[in-house]
Amino acid sequence: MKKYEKMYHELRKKYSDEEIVDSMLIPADLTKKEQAELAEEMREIRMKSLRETTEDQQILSDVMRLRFQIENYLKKESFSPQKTFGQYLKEYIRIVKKSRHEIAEDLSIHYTKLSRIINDKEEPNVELSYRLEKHSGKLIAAELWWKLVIKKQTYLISQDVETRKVEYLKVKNQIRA
Amino acid sequence: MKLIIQETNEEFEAEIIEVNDNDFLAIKKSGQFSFNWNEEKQYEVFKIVKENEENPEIHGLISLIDISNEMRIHISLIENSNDNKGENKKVDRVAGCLLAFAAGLAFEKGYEGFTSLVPKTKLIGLYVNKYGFSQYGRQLAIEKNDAIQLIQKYL
Repeated sequence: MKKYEKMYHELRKKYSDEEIVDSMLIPADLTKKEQAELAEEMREIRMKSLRETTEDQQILSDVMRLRFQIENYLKKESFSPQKTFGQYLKEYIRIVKKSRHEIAEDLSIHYTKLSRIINDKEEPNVELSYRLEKHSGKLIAAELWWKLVIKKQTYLISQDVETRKVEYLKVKNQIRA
Repeated sequence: MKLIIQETNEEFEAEIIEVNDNDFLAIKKSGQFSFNWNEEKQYEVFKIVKENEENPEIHGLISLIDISNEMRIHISLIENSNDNKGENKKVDRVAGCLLAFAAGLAFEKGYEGFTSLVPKTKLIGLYVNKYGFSQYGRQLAIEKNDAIQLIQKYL
């Protein structure tokens, strides 16, 4: 009996097919020839799928790509001035193929304010995160947008020696730590 | 992503991390997995664990092949730990999260979420119904909107 077939029969003594599918992928036992045939078949399926991708599907795919880029940045990298809320918003607008005027209209935000946010001249409010969540078809959650603001602010606080000094002077009766 | 403790229905945050050499030793020693995961070392192997925990228990594993010239991710193997198999499993949603992770990687790389696998023929219909894969002869694939649905459900 073939390798995975044998394993399947062993597993079937304990689990139903549904339980197996719920907990593992048992691959098909394939000869080298079958592997090559299926690989060629899948290559053709993939090329056909690429040819048939519509503009709307491409936009959705790119929005998903942006979502995972933001997630990875938030999780794995330290703050970068090139990866702010404004910069990701700029990329989002490019992906959805809209002008800044159109996006400002879509998000009910003044064009000048939008431009200032994109150029990191002004910080967004949490309301804009909710609006972007809705605009992205909920593919990029408000929390994700907002975490970009938090990441930047956290970095700025950690670097702000001057304000820290000024504010320290206003404190009385500090506890002894 | 969230996993669920089946007994209490309690949710906890999980993360998927690449497996290192020490993990491979631990996987073999644990007796929790039926496949020989050392054979998957040639591919990218990931584990799903509780987030932010030191030496966390491995709830499941997935091995992936990046076929970049076809812009697709191929899933070689998936397996939940023995504790998470069957009706008495401790933790639910493990395999779904691992599949959605593969589709997510396929979006991240600009592959439109295209993710393929070749399961045992008898089980094909169940993968189609449970996870939204499309059947192409003996093979399965998920992409675009279906891949987004899978990700929105599990990640």
